[in-house]
Amino acid sequence: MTRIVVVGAGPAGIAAACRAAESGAMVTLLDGEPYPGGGTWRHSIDYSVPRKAKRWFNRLDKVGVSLRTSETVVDITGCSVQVQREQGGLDSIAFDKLILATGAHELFLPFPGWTLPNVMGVGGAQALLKAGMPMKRLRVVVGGSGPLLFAVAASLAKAGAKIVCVAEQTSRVQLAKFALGTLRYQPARMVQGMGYMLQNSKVARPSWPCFHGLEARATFRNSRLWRVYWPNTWLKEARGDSQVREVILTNGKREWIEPADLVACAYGLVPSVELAALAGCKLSVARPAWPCFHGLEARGTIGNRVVVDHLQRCHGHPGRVGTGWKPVSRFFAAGEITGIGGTDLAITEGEIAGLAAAGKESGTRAAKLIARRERQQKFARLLNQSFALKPHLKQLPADDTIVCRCEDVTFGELKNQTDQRSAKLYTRCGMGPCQGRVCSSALQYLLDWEPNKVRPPLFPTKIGVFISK
Amino acid sequence: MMKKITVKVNDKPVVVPEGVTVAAAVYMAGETAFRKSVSGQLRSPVCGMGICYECRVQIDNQPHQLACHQLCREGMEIRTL
Repeated sequence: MTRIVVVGAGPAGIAAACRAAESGAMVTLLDGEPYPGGGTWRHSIDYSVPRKAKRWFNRLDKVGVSLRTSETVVDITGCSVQVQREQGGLDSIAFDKLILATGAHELFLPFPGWTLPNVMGVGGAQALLKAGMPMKRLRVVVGGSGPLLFAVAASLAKAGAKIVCVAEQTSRVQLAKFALGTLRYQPARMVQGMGYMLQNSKVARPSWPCFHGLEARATFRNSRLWRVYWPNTWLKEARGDSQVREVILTNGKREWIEPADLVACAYGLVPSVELAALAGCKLSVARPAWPCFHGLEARGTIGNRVVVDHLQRCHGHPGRVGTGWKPVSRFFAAGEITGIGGTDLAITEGEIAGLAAAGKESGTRAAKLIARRERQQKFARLLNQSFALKPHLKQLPADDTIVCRCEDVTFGELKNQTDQRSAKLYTRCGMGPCQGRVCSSALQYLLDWEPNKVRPPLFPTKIGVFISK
Repeated sequence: MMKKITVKVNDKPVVVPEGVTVAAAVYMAGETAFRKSVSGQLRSPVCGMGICYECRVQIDNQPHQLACHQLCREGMEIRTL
């Protein structure tokens, strides 16, 4: 029986595990978090997961996959992965095929004050809300870029937060294009989005940015959420003492202050390719930093993605290094690590990877899924174009703004360095426990630096774990 | 009805529903700062999913535990900063 290990229990990982197990393989599904679901289908203390997620969870229960949560993959050697258990201890799991579904993390761009307590990511705020963080009466500023902003603002409002504004950096024209494209490729998502827009929430008044002076407003009323959705606006600075108190917003021409008890800000997603890189899979540029269709050359990129063929197989060196990249039959990748494209595409990719890993890639089922993936990829391209980042955002960090949050390295110290490696050697940037997950994608965008090479262990691991092994 | 458990955040008892993370319990206790950075700044969680390592707290005398990855257990002693 084929032993298949799936890393990451998000939509792609669950779909892959189900398909592989249904095809008769012995499947182990690993995830570092206490519950399966990943970022989109995250476990919520009020058990409010989407219907589609519930269907997949039920399917996962039935097919007899060995689900191991709170187990983080820290290394990969030959035909086995090393996992660290939450209680401590290292375990080695052997596989014939490995399906990588490690998902993505958010892109955080440093701006003055972003290290203050209660300034977090957009998905971060969503995750903490679902984990049980009380949001009642908090004044929230949501900022950054991407369709997630609106979904998160809606769920925060539902939990009792007051929404000051949703500052989206992309322009109205791009948003209109995105709306039309969504209507065409994924009408169900458009309905969902409209639902958020029209949700009755406590929002700040008045709803037009041009009327505020530099005074921080504090009155709220019940209104539709779209009233505080401001395109072409981004966060310039957060201010506060022991936590954030107010933010400065700008639209490139004007600046104004808004009150805030909580700031949720992130500029989209970056594929989490660390394990794939360690396994020796081929990576490529994930998305251009700003739109190339404006006639501008696409300068700067953000993040890497795993290159896959039509069966979601990764590319590797089959023989000696330097003999050229070829699809390998041992490693598969599915979901956001192959390029950001949303939940539906992730599920389809997961299903294809699961079937292909179990050797069932020639059936009509696989052919149908491949056709569906093609349609969903169009939406993914639209998503990446519509929310491409403005070049203005490169000017966000000041010289004394911290970029590496683990080692407190400022932008001023970093901009004189030539690359990530020299920055690491001279300033300790990226040497903290997050291992550069937060700062390296920001620096790839800000200074066009290549991300650092990945080394095991992929997550901080206690030395005793290796000694006792 | 959700079962309630009691944990201690900086010696203050807090009653939380079963299944919430340590990070949520810290917020429920009214704290916003989780750790002090290497230069002494206050910090709180950013990613909520275990990559940023800003949510590190001391749990039952074990330092550097991820608050957003661990679930509360009855009698757990959590210490921030």
